[in-house]
Amino acid sequence: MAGIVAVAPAEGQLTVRPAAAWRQLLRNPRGAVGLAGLVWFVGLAIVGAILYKNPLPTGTTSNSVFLPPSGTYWLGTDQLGRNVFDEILLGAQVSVIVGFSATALATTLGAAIGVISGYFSGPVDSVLMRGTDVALALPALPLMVVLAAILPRGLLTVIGVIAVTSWPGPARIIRAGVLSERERTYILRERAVGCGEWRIVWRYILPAVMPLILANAALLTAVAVLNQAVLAFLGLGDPTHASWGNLLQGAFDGGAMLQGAWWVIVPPGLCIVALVLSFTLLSNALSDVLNPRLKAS
Amino acid sequence: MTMTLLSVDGLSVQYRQGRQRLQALDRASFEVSEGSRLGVLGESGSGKSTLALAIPGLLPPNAEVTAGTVMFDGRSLTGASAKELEQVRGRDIGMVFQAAMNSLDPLRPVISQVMEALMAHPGVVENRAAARKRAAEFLRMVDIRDQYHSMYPHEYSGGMRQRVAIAMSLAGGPRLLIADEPVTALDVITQFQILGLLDRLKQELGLALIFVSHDLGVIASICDEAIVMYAGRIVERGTVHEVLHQPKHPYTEMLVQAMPRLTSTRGEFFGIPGSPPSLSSLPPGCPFHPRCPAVLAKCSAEEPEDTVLGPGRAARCHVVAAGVRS
Repeated sequence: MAGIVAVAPAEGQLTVRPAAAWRQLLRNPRGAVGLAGLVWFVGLAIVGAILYKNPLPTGTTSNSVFLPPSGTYWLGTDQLGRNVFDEILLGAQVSVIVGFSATALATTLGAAIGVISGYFSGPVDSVLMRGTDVALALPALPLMVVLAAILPRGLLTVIGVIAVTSWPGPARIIRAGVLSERERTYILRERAVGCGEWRIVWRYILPAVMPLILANAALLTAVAVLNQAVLAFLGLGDPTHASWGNLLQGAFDGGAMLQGAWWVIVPPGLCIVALVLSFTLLSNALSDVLNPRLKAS
Repeated sequence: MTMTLLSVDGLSVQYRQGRQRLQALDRASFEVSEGSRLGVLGESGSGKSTLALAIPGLLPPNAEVTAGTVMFDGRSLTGASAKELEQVRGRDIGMVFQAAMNSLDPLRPVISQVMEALMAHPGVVENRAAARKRAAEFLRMVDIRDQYHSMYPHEYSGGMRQRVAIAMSLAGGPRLLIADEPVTALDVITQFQILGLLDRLKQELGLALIFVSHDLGVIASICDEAIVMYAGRIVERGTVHEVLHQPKHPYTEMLVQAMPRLTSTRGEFFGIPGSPPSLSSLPPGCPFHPRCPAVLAKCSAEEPEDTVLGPGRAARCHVVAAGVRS
């Protein structure tokens, strides 16, 4: 009946209470695995930051190049005789920092544009959405490469470049959520009470689309981690700090493949895959937990 | 003589739909005095809700006031800026909507929403603690007991939600309450409670009320005066007793007859033949003439004007005009 259809979405949203959402997330297999992966890598990054003063380990001696894994070098050494295990540990820092910062920037920008565009409609919406269309139409990888090449090298550039290329998607998704939310009767009633438009946006629209923003942010982090590795592999990362991408690039250039030094290539590759997978699983679980309407269908 | 609180004069509203412009409200004029209760009657699509939304400037973006004025307590609302209208809403004019089920934010406890309504205007309450206290008072005023205050809207029944919506609309201390079909989706017992509540609030707070409904019985039980709408026009006005017991316009007359009665036997019901006209293709002349039993030749040629039948009593009909003249 019509009554059930009308009531169900409103009730479904109530699981957004934080404590209940946490419990559901941990009970969800994908959520638990994703969260465990996330905790593991953030832990690695913190341990790395505590153990090492120098963000870029130096090689030991000239005859320690491409040593296979051993008791001294758990993951062997690379083309410059550096301990791969040290580099993996240090690389986690870059991946985690870039992943979170770029996502925070892109999500803030995307959410601001999506919410304003969706709520205020009319000419504002047209201008913002045409801008988003243009940004969406530009191919992300070449744009990132060009920007990273002309801007000064460094972690900030990497973060900025990834953020700049990844906000349009979230902006679109969030705008769509706002469009359906603002037509709800309680928004009209809020206006009838004399609530200002910005107050409605801040106190009603934004919390209502927050599940969408969060689930999307987790997915965005996965993409950011991958993009950071890509940029580093292309030699456009921060050369002063060890990262998984740098490690892969060095191994590739130094002929690790020819030497059969799999231990330089497999660990960073697996780390990238595992971290990206963690965030993807987490995003997937988050959208189930925060938006049960999707799960039902 | 009581003071005029709201005066609507020649108000016309058009909706843009693609390239079409639909005349949802056509030169509506009426007044509401302080503390009085006006019923707005009409079928779906007759322009009742458009009228209710147009007064506090809450029309959707694709609607436009094309003519006329709305004056509230000496101030023009039709010429007011968005900021000025925000001041009027809630503080001077409260509003209650039909969809009681959806008129609360599902994500917040009820009391926090009433607090929001109190804090929407500066100067109503000093701080959050005061807001919480006042919100609880308002909820008690609409008979919601303390143990329910911190619950979420989905834990409430339809009638409770509508009472909360009423409490919120009163938070800013308005002098006029516009209720757009506030009891339509509710069962009769809940209807009775809500109507009783509105009546009590009117007595206690001296509220003026505009009550929009398609239910003649509800209007009869709560209002002093009534206007009847058809195809965006006010076709008849007068006291509730006059309009419902001595209707002048053929439409009102048929509407009253069409109301089902408890005393009628099975299969005995009366409807108005035909259906309300689409706003995109109104018939020429009087929009009711294709369905009118007393239709005259001029009805399809010329749109009738108001025929004044007494103070506050008028009908927009050629038949009535002819009857007065002869």
